[in-house]
Amino acid sequence: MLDANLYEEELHPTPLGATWREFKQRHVAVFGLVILTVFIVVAIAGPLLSPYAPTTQHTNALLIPPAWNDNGSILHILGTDALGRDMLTRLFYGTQVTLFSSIATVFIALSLGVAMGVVAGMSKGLRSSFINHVLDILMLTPTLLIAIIIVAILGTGLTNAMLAIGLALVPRFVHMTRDFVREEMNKDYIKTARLDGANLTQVFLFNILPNMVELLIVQGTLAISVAILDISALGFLNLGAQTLMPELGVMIADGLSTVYIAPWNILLPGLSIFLMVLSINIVGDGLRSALRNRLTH
Amino acid sequence: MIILDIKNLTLEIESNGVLIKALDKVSLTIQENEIRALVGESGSGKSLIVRAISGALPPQWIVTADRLTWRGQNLVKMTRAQRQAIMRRDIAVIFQDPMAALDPSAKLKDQMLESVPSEFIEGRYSWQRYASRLSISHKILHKVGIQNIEACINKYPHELSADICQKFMIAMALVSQPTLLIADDPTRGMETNTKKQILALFTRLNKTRNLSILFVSHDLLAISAMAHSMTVLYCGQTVESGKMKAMRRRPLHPYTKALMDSAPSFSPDLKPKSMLVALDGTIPTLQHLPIGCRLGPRCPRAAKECVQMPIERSINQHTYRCHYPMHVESV
Amino acid sequence: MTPLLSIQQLTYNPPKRWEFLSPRSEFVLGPVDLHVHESETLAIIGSNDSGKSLLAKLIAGAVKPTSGEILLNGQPIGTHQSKARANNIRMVFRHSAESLNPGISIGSMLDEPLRLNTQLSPAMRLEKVMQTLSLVGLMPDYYYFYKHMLSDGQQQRVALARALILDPQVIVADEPFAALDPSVRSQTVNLLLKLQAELGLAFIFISHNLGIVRHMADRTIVMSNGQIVESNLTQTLFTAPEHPSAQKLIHAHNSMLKL
Repeated sequence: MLDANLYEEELHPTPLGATWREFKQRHVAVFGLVILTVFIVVAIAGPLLSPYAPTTQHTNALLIPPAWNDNGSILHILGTDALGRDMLTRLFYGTQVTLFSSIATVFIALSLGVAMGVVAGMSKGLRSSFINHVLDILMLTPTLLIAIIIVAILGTGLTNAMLAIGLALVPRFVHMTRDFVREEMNKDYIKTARLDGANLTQVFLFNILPNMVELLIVQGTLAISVAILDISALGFLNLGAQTLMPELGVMIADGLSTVYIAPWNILLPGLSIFLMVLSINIVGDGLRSALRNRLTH
Repeated sequence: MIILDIKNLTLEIESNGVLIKALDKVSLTIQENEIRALVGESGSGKSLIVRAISGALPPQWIVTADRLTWRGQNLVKMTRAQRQAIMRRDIAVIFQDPMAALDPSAKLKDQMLESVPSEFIEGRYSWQRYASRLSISHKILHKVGIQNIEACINKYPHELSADICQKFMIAMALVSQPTLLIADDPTRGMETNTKKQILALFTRLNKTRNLSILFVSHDLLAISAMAHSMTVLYCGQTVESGKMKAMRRRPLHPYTKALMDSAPSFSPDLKPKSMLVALDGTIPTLQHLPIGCRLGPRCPRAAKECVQMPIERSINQHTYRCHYPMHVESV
Repeated sequence: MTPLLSIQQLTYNPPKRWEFLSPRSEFVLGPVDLHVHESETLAIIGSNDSGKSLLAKLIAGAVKPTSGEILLNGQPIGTHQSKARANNIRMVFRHSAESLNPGISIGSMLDEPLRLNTQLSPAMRLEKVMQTLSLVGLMPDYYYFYKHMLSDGQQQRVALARALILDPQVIVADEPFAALDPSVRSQTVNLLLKLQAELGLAFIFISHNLGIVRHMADRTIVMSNGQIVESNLTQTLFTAPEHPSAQKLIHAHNSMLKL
């Protein structure tokens, strides 16, 4: 069987490998990736390791500060909230809910947006440009605003919030995909594929998609950070996840009334949101630079 | 009289911890009133030489040369300001793809007026100066052979054909009355009629305005029609240099011969649809440069000595660098 | 002997499109007649706006003609895309940054036409790709390479391999030598001559390089303003051109040859 020359492979990696090599050189981006990995691990494994359930109220341990404080106790490492629920557990579950719901939202929005964008990009004429202009108008409005409007129509709850944010994110994906596909369709290598007899779906899947993957990853990553902020914001406003659910935004809202005596109730979830969004943005930015530079080295 | 003298120019850059010689002891001279061709394929370093002359090299490049002089003045030792002064007045450069080099958002008229040097403009008031600029521009556009000047200069670059754009670029380069015009592959991709016009223009300018031209290209047909002398570059090394007629009749270096063979028009006895004589292999990349004579791995006459860089020899002003040159009985 | 490829009365005359209330003029081509025999090379020359590229695209099926017939071995094949056409008349586009897909490997690029047009099993497709790679002088390792790892000459060979992989009878090439260095150009010319001798290909190419045209082409046609103005054996055309456009071109070329 034929083997590619091992040394050649080192010097000439695949485009994806070249991206990773570029990315590795940016230490800030790698740092961001480490933090993000920590959060993902926490989101997956945390709830399995947590000592308590997120909703159990320990009525004899209300508003206990974190363990490093004099009044804290090792039983509740990060303290408890006004209802006696353990902070650490709530953070674990909260991260899981916020992170996973954001990822799910973006995933659905991406699939929908890309599908619509591909159709718009491959068709010609007045119809597709009309869609584009309508989308441009939608893109001017902040996603949170659109999400609030949709929630006002559909009602509150985490699933409705996810739906609302997903719909608010769709326009940017459609726009991005449509522009990219339109540009690609004019290129010679697409024309040869069509001359070879590929229908439009095959052209998209085998010829355009490999070139689009990186764009999707970067935009998707950045959209996740937007989704995290929006879901937390909706939770905070009590329009998304409701009080009983452990969600980071809800936790902040709950802790608002006792902020002066128990600041950790707000600080800890706020810090989590901040770090998640920061790490995702750093990673997304690093990916974008890596993609731009990968073929020039 | 020699106006540009380059001897043993070496350009090095560091890549992955290793110093790579992109140009290795390159020598080139241009006399007054001479059209010299610089022939080389991609990777030969022709554009680097142009940049070394005009001083446009990024600081990472290490420049060493026995001589790099313009009219006797050492270019390497000059200050930036002095270098720029020379570039502005004495040396002009034009590039390939004229439509890409012109500002697409400005009419030709504005671009032309902008490029007239202030030393030539007469008049104290702004309208006098404007009129002066305009008349100088018209004169020079007429000299390069653009018809319907009024109609052409009021258009944008994309509305005009390639030959008018290139003539315009030449006019803009000539307006400062330079002594040397460096043309970096100006006829690349042009069709035959256009190419002929541009080459005829060069010949005319050389004869009537004492303009020396350094014509950088790998289009042998264009070069042989026009150039007085030629320097052949392979992979950063000058392999042969001399008068055009002599080199075409009797190329001494195998690479020069290979270049001549690549243009079937030069071999009238060649049977149609027969195989062209070609060198095997490809041009080495900067990372994998052979030691000694860089044509070594591909050369059909290569032998043991070729791992050492051959010294420069000359026969009747025809210089070559080869251990086993053609047409020469003994070395 | 019936010609391998016969083009009859091919025209391109699209209805005028209205853009902002004024008609936009489209380039009109034709009617054009030409034919090519097996193992024959036909060159198309002419000035930049003569319609050469458009003619090549019409022959290869990239653009739909308004009227006319294309016959392969005497049998008409559809004037627009069809399997018969894709298999038998293949095109090599003008070399540019966009002629090869940068995101997929060379192997996938060559596999795609096979996958779309033949019923070969994956193993047989792999073998065919390898065979074609060696036919154009590229090593089997190149199967895994990407476009950015190849030099201009090698990219041109990949484009050629993509055209050859379906064992076509006619190859149409738009300025295949324009972007190549002289040494690579010689190698490509030799490769094409070898392939033509081995496979009996008919080869239609457009070029500005009249020296190469004179060397490689059996017959040459001159185009001007969308019409074929002269069509003759290459040697005859170069020694005695008749039409003014042809004369202008040949004289310009000859004048550069004189010292």
